[in-house]
Amino acid sequence: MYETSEFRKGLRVEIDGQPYLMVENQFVKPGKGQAFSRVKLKGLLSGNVIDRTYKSGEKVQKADINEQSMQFLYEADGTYHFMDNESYEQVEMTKDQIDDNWKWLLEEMVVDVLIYKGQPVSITVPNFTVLEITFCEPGMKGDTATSANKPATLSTGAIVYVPLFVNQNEKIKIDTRTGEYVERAKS
Amino acid sequence: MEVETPSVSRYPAIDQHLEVQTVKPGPHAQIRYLISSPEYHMKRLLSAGSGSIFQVCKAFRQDEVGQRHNPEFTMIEWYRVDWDHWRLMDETEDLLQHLLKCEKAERLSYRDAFLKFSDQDPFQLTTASFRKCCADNTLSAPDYLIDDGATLDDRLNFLMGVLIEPCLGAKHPVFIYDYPASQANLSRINPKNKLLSERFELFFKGMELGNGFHELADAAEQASRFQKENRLREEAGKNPLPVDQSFLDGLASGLPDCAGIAMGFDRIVMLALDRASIDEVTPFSWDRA
Repeated sequence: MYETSEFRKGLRVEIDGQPYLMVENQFVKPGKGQAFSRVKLKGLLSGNVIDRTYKSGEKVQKADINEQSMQFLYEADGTYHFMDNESYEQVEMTKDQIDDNWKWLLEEMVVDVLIYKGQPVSITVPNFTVLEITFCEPGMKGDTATSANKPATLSTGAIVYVPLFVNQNEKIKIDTRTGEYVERAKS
Repeated sequence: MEVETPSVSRYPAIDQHLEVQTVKPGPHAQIRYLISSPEYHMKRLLSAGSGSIFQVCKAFRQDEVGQRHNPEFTMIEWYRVDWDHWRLMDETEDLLQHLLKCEKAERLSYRDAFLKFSDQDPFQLTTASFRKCCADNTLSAPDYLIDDGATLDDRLNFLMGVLIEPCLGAKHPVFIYDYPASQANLSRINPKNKLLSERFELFFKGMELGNGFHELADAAEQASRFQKENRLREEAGKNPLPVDQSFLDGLASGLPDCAGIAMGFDRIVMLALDRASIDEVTPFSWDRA
């Protein structure tokens, strides 16, 4: 159990039989009144965000959930296959479970697979990844000053916005949390 | 006159919703308490004839950590002899304008603040109207407040904290006055209306900055309020706290007619520097202290 004073972003809790990730925690103490923790929780299975308010001292169940480092093998017919490099155990997940992370998944990439009550439910990819641009409009030489962007298609099929000076076939570094271009990768 | 009072006290403040930090000064010593406010000591000085006094000091609260809370924080507290809380509001307003270069403050009664921001009369709130108010404003109230057995004050404090306070003082500071008598531990009751206390709070940009009273000087009344707070603590499964008899003796020997206020210094700095978190205005946050 987690007590309210242990609440923080990133905690995994179970409410009404569902696992949630704590995405926000706000401590509220009205003048002479009872203190509260107002939290926002993201359903790890549903993706829905819910609000809950707990009075200080209340406890919430820990979710039976852990992370396992696994390698992405391949995707076939919308099913994504991963393997634990130590036990060689394989698991598969649907595209829905992978969510937006498909954008950054390259074969052999090592990701964290979330296991809830023995079942894989979602993945977390590294915060930064380097991917190749397979298509974009030609670059404009010397244009490093303007903040204008253009779309670029990556080897995974994802589209990200890059500065005008970036070219096709170049590798770029991306922040997977925001889905934004960071810089050109040194190759 | 500037004064200094102890940080480590023999007795804690008695409040049903306030948990004090304790210290053990030596292996065989009695438990002592880090002050949650210098109020009892300052009133003992007032009772001894100090005249108007102020201090800037550290205060401590258990488990109060958040964007606007640090378990150790800085308080500005002062008392004006022969003043009532109305005059103290005026002075507080001057200080705030000086510190924050803000506009003049608005004054709004507790009841009017509820009517304005929650469409509820706080003195008429029922289980049904509380539930409706939560639903209308998509507030996820904890179950114990929704249940029939919840107390009016618990519901009012919840609405104040999550619905009304965030709306208060968007443009200019606002004083909320005429708090319910049931929410006044150390302040006088309005002589004309026993439902109201002579207590106010100050808010600016959706944040509570201070709490002031026309100070209760009746030792017997104070003792019975402590008893009530301790009873409420026990009902909530908390330990009752020992009563500071020196403080009550001080009141009995004669606390002068006075008004006093405590303000959170760190929060004023947050506003002055336009920072959203108390961590940004203290060199060592709780995690790194």
